[in-house]
Amino acid sequence: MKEKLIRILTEVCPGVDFAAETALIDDGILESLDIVAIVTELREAFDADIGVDDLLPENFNSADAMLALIERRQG
Amino acid sequence: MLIKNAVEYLEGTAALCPDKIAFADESGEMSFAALRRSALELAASVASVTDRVNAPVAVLTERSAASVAAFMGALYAGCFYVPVDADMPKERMRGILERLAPAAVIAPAAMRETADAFRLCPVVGMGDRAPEPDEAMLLKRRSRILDEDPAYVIFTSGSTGEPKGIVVSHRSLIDFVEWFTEEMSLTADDVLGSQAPFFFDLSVKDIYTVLKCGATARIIPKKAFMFPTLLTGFLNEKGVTALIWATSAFHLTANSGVLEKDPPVTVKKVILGGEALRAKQLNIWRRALPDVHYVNLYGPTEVTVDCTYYPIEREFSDNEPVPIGRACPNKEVFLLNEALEPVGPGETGELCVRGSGVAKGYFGDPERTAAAFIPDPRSGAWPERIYRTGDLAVMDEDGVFIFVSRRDGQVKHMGYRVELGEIETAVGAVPGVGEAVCLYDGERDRIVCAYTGGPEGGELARALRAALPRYMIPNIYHRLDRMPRTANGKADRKRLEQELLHGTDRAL
Repeated sequence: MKEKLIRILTEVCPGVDFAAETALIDDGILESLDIVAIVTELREAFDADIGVDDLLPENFNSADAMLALIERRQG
Repeated sequence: MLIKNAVEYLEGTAALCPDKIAFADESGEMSFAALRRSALELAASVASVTDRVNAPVAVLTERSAASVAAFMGALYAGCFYVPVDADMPKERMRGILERLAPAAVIAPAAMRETADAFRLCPVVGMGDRAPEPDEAMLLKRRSRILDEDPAYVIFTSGSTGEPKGIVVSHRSLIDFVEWFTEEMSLTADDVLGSQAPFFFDLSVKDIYTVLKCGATARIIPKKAFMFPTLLTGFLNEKGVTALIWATSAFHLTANSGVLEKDPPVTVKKVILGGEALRAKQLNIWRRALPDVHYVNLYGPTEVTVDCTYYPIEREFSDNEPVPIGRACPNKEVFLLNEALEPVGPGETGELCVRGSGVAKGYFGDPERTAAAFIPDPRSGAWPERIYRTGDLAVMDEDGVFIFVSRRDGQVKHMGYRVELGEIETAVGAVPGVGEAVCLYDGERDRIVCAYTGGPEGGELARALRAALPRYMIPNIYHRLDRMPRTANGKADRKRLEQELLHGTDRAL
């Protein structure tokens, strides 16, 4: 599942090393519109019911944080 | 008020309401008086390092009020400003600055060293100690500037691998600002939620609505744009009344689900531009905020921001195309076929523009200027020039235009104008790569790169980060054993499109 996640993330934001980065938000690696684009993809690819309240910096700082969010929201 | 130099907007408004907030960013608020003072100090610094007037001054541009002060500083000094994204890869920045040969570069304090290291021209740091502005001397420099002289140059992607600098005169800019602020009923009471980066010509609308009308722009913090609840929280807290946004930002906000939950209720006007507006996302906004006045605008940078506009006054079904509208009053918009003859209503043709907004051309590039800016073929009367946009459109019986497609390899991606040829040149320059073809998957907003030789996709993307801005880096990579060819030996783009965009073997 993590591999699929990283493949999707790399497609949305090419050139970012998602397997290694742990401060994607805090270090400003992701840009303004990336999160919404990422969430749109994750909802579809993982059938995860990610709501607008889940869109918080701590849920997107690393691939692992995003994976944990997906697992919490999978129906 | 008839003015000749765009900096007179700031002069007038700073005299009328010096203490009102002009721009606010994360570091604080800047009043009109403070903006004027800061701009004059930067102008004095520019004048202390160069005698040139009517010459370019590059501004390494950030999401800050200080960047606007630097633009105005260039104008006060009798020069024109050239916004350059401070975040772009250094080599691309150097390339632009080398071609521009600016009289000076104005850099934020944190970028000063980078700018100095280029050793191309004198550098003025935004935090530097400035000489006391000699306003009479600055006015003397400025008095030599005619309204036909450039006000700014904005760089966009160029198909041959080099960005193009579009030169816009004071006259074109002032004509646009006068029409836009009047037509959109923007006033000193408006608070703008500023989204567009200042190196993008969409921001001309934010900047000059503030300077002309005495409105206030609240620059949306980067982080608020990442998290939609922070975004609408920001808009509500600041009492934002007008959004002059890239259509892509409008679409993404609709898709996030925030509008159903926490809509920006103080917003009264939404003014869009930059790419095709989708009815589905428009409908999400209209359900959440039915009383807002929505307007769709269209225009490439070469015609000074916009040339058509369409106030949304009826319902659209989710799949219906939203028109780009009628010509702005000071511009003539018409369609020509491939033989450069006018086409009638209902027929597809290339959208062409004539009038005061047509730019002066591409900076230092007479060849590309001559190809895009041509004598009006309907009359042949030089020096009246028209601009060929490369966009195909149809016009209905009422003179309303609907965008159809591009004529060439230019696409709109994330709100930016991108030439696929420029990306191909950059990919081809990565060591080991044989040949590259880039395609655009409009349904999924993805740039797809097919290439031979070279490194695997992830490595290639990382190499491209040093050469291209983020929005130009391909999203999907296909390494091919060999490039498919047409009968005359060219890369077969049609076949690649069929296989990679419409085929069954997609990357995912």
